[in-house]
Amino acid sequence: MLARMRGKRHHTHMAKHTAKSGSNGKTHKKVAGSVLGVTRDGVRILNQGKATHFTQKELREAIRSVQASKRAG
Amino acid sequence: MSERDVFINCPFSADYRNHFRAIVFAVVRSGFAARCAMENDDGGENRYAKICRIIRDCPYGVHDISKTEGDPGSGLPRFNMPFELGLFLGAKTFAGRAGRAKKALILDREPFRYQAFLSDIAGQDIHAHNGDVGLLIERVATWLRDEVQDPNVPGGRAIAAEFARFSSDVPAVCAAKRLDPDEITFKDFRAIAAAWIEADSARS
Repeated sequence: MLARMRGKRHHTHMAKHTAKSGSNGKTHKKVAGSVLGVTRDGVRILNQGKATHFTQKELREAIRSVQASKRAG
Repeated sequence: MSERDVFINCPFSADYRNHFRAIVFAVVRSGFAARCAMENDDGGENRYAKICRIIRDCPYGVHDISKTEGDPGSGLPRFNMPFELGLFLGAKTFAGRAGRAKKALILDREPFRYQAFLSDIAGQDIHAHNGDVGLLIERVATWLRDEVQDPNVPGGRAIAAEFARFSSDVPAVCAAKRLDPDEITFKDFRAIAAAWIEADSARS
């Protein structure tokens, strides 16, 4: 039985780690991307960063519309 | 950037586009972040520096060295994939503890074919995908699941079936912004993939 989908967005962050960056060798914290959502099977889908042509809201609306029209046949 | 970043090193040519997108989809669906040299277009950063920065950030690398044919224009093969694989393996060898922790999945069309053109990596475990997108997804998903020991990640064949449904939705998603599916950027594609996977899971 698959785990139930948790529909709300998760803004928790994954573990932090430090890394050296740049030619000055300064150490600063790098934080992993936020979690966009969790699938029914429990996989955390990471936010992949900004798109070039879409905002996150536009993407969600476009996908929702495509999936709704497919369901409607 | 994070402990779940995956550097994707593969051809960016039109004839490989579906394979490239299949790898990105498998990476995102497996709970990782997809990264590659096409992720930003900063004219102030040279390509080599950009690739080094991304490799430094990524503990995982998926390298497809299968495209050995000559470029239709020049007739010459592209050496970028073996070069970037070499950079990744060099980082693994020379970059201290963080480098040693790097893991690479190396893919080719057929097993042992690489020995004819990249014999220096003989002894590495090379995975064959036979040019098949479904098998390619299976290889990537199985490897990532194995690396992080995450039993939640579905099997590669299930992900390949999702990728087929996703691919049929992409043109309509692009049409919402009057975009041709061939003109979306890597950043668009990985964001569409993540949003679609999330929405699809909520719907089903």
